Amino acid sequence: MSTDQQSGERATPTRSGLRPQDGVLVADDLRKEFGGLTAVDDLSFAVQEQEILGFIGPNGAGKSTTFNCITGFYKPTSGDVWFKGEDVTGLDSHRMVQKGMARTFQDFAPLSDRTVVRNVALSLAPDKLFTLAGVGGETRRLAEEICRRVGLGDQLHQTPSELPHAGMLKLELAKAIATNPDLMLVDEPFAGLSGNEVQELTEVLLSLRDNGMTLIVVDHNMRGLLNLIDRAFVIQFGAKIAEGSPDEITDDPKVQEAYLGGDEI
Amino acid sequence: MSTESESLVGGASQTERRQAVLRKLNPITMPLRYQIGLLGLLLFVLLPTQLFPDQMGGPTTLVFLAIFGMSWDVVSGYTGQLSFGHAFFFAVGGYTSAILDLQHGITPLVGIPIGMLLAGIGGLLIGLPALRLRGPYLSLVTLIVPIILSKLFTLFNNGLTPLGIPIAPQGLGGRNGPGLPTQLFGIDGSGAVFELASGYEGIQQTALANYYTALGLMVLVLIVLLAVTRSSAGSVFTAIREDEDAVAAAGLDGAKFKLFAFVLSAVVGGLAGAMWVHTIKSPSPLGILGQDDIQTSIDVIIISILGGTGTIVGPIIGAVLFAVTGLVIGAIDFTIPVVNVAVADLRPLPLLAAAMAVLVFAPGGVLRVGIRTGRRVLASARGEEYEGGPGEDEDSALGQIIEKYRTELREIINERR
Ligand SMILES: Nc1ncnc2c1ncn2[C@@H]1O[C@H](COP(=O)(O)OP(=O)(O)OP(=O)(O)O)[C@@H](O)[C@H]1O
Ligand SMILES: [Mg+2]
Repeated sequence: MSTDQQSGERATPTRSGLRPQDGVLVADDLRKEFGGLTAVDDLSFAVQEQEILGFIGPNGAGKSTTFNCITGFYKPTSGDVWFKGEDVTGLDSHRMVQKGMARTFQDFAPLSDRTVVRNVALSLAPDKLFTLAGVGGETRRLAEEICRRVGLGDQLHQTPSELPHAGMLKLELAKAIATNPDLMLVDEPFAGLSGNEVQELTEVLLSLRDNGMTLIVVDHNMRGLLNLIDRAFVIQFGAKIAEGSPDEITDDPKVQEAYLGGDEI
Repeated sequence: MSTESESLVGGASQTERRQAVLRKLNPITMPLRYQIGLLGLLLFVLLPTQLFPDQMGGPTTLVFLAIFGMSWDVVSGYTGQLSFGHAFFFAVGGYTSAILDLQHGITPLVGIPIGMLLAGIGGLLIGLPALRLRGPYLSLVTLIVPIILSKLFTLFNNGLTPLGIPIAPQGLGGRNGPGLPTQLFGIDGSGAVFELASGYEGIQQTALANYYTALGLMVLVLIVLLAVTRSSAGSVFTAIREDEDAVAAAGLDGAKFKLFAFVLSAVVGGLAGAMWVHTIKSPSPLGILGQDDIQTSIDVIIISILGGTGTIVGPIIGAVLFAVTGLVIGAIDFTIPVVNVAVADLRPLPLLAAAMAVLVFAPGGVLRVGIRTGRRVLASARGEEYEGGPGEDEDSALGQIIEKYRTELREIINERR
């Protein structure tokens, strides 16, 4: 465990007391600073196997940055990440994926030079230089199947630019699913979706959980997540302000204050 | 991971794969564009029947240029890591084999593979920093490297024996080069590796042997590079060109694939460079690196752009266009009035103009235009409307490469602010 090197003025650095075995994913005193800005402020939490955790916070709270630190796209300033009991802090992002941790991007940008199904097929490509995988067409069949599961069955051979917004979000999800993860970090899957579309994707995510996957789902507020999550974790200015069941969260005074005048929780 | 999940769908059998490969290789069931490609290769094979042996130099050079273009394409065209000094690899391969032959008495049959190996190490040495450098910085490195190499040729003009190790005891030969190494083919008694008939017949045979050796090398390189780029590694290469984060998020080690592309490209370039000096090219900075130590590298890029970047086959077409343009311009016996310059003396301006025209009107290169036109013709023959394939009319590979480069340049400028 590393302590906070940057703010030595604090006499006793917060210690979460979490241990590596406390969940499939354990973040311990995770911290990320950009220059003077602390985007993630000593966050600690654990996620249990097959749990769906809602990761909630207003604009700029540090949700995506937390994801980036966990998945290896940023090196955390301090703190530890344990995945399946193993210290994976600062590991390269592709190694994380290989270990079974996938993520989606909030500002997704699918590869515009290839079809939907070939976008998904890239996630199925082996990390090997010489391979015959895919020659027989089995990779393509699997990619097609994943597309169908997320509801892209009719758009297999379109380019991403032809997809509607909801289709883009589904594609982003399909790409992550195709890496066959045990844990999936989903960044704002419902942004800009209609109620029906939210419901459709919620069912996809629930079925993934039923098949053994653990999920962390980011959103601004809890409305869209109510039918999905087991537990919510609310952050503001990079620090945790509340944690608990959806009901407990909505009644929490701190949470209400954080959302005062802005969004509704 | 992926193998596990593949078994979910089932049918991922070895035999199925083999059948799929065989199906793709059957000339009768091949798509039209492959059949045309095979026809093109046949024309290459038959070309010498239409020429006198002393006219074979041009076509042989053309074939080497095509190989160099393919070598550039696999790293720059596919992964978008622009190399502006690719002749560095040709020179490393060529000089290594030439020096081994001239100053250590090692036969080209051994020297050529060593040259290839050393070029591969060169690829590693440039590929490693390329992992950390963004495009514009990489361009500077690749631009400078052949120039440094050329300076070394001059610096170690008379001997290169660092720490007493006689690497090139008689030196690298400066601007003149280390001399003419043993040729692979020559007339009887010439001391070539393979001595052919004597007299004029021998000269004829030598010209043909050089040409067909180069052609054989081209076909070999074509097969290897097509196999790599049409396998899943190729789709990783092009994904790197577009979005490296997407590659990482797919669980793929982008750095490994980039480095592989660099080394593969360097090995191919080094092999061709080594074969070049033992067939038709005397090793010298001007001969291999070209004018100002940079012309060959530029030519190679032009060839790839003309034919189509990110296609492997494109550079062959590009090399033909390059050669034909050169021939036509050279043959034009016309002096532009007022300025009083002969058209033939304008080289390489017309070529650059041709490359610019392709950039503006067909940034995907001639190959892609050809395939698209072909598809449109076929579709209308079937009475259908051709709607275009994915990404065909939008982002060409070249467009993507330039876009990536621009983004990286913007990043650098923003950081400097
Ligand atoms: N690469 C970066 N460099 C500098 N600052 C950054 C960087 N990434 C994020 N930040 C800052 O960190 C803070 C947290 O940003 P982050 O994107 O994690 O928030 P978020 O909770 O995901 O917000 P949103 O709901 O808008 O997606 C913001 O103030 C943001 O400006
Ligand atoms: Mg965010």
